Amino acid sequence: MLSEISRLLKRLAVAEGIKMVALYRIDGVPLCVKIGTTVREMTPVLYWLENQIKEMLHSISQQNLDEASFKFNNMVIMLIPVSKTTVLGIIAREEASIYKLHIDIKTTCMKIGKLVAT
Amino acid sequence: MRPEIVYSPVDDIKEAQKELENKLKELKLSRFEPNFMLLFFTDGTYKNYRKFAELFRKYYPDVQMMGCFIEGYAVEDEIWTRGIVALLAEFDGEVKVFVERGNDLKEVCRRLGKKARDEWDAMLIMFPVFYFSSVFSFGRAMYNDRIYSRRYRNAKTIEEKKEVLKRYSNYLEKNFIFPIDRVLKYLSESTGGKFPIIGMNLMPMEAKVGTPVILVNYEEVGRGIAAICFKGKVNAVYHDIYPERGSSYEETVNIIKSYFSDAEEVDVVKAGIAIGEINGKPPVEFLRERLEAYREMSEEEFLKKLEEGRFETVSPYMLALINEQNFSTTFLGIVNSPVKIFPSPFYLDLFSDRMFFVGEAFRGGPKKFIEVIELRKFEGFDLILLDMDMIPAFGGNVYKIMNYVEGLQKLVIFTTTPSIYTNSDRKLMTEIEKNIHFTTSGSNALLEFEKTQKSHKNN
Repeated sequence: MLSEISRLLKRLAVAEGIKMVALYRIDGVPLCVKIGTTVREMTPVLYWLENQIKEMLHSISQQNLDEASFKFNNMVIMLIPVSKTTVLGIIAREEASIYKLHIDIKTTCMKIGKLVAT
Repeated sequence: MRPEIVYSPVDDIKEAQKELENKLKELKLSRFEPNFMLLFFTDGTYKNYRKFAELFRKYYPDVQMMGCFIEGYAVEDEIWTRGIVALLAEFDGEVKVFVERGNDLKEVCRRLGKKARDEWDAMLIMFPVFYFSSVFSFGRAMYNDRIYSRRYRNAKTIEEKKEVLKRYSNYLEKNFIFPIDRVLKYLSESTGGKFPIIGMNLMPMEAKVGTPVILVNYEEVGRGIAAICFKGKVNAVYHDIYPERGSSYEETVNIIKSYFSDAEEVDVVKAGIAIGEINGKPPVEFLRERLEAYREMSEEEFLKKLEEGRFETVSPYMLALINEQNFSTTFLGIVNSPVKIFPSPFYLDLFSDRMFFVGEAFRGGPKKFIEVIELRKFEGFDLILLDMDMIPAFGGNVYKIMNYVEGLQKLVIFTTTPSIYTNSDRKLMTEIEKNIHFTTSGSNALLEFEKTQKSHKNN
């Protein structure tokens, strides 16, 4: 299952403008991470964002949100629940085509949702 | 017809090639021998279109093939805006692809009609509405926009202004624009007007030099028209999302005003395929005055965006143009750009100088777009062409359409608003001339193929 999830996340991560795609457990533990840029570029970003992401994951869980997103520097951070216990996180460049990305995220969430439900 | 959809929702060329090759090998082993193929590239794969075309050519070199750039697609229960998708089919009838290139549209259509003739049941055409082969050609267009806009400003009377617009319009048509209505008109005339013609009048959502890419039998078309013709159990239909047109000018005006609650009446000076002014101002300046969010775009910024493929050709603000002859209406998006004279993808002469400036409104949500499937005649395979405006308008909610196509054997394509030449007894809002339907917002089309003995055996 994890290898299939990894393959799905990788598909999203290779697109232009995507910096990172990760499947988080609702308590903030990353289950699978795919980086669309260099690890060196993402490490400090993730360090800065760790608490914010945890806080938002908590809000998603408590308030049953469909989606939570915010901007950081020139990046957009999106968190979308996949199941009761997992959330898909995406970090994309601000100029990435967000409308289109939303559709691909939804398809990916649906496919991961089917995997985690089985 | 036995259809097979081969797709890979991956932008990475190596992974996509591997995935496609596995599927194509499987099809070859199953002795599947298609007689036509429609190949669609998305934003992330079109730059490698030659490599993908070669891959398909390796397996099916003699298939009648046509391909182009799209914004997204839906296969089974998935929607993707990345990767590549191909419809390969064993069609139980005759199918043939034709292409003609050139700058003189009438001549291109005449030659295409002469080749194709009138013995088909449906035709699907692909052509670039705007086509710029290089950054240099963009620069040339911008330079001419400046020259003609200066002449336009110096003109003293409306007649003189219209004369300048007509001349500029001729220049645009000869060099960059294939007007949608003229393509349908000339082509239906040259093919006898006996069968429907669906137009994929292509204009990418994010324009770039050399786009839209169109392929015919694995070769690039450039500025020209490609057509795939079908003879057999096939049906082509068109639908728009708007209410029916009125029986008088006033009635249509009232329909527009009630559909778009923010409709603002404006006076427009236009001729041919060029708009000189809206309420006395250059069209883009008029747009920016209404919407402070749009700041002025410099020529450098415009060219940079085009080079990077980030110039958005969709706009939520448009003109509603009313035809005084049959009281139909079509819509023209006004896009923020540095042009002074605004080019139109269709002829404006039929429309009243009094128009409405409206904000995009899609009443009924995504469901309205997929209503086109209610016009199906056959139980079989459906190629559904949906307006790409749905993507920025609804984002992830585009998925709602999947509830209505569940269980259908189909390929849904998100592309520029399709147009059609067809006999219709409905009073469609966007039937601008007899049998000719088009708009730049809110139209959808369907090409359906009846299920036959062959497809029963295989599916």
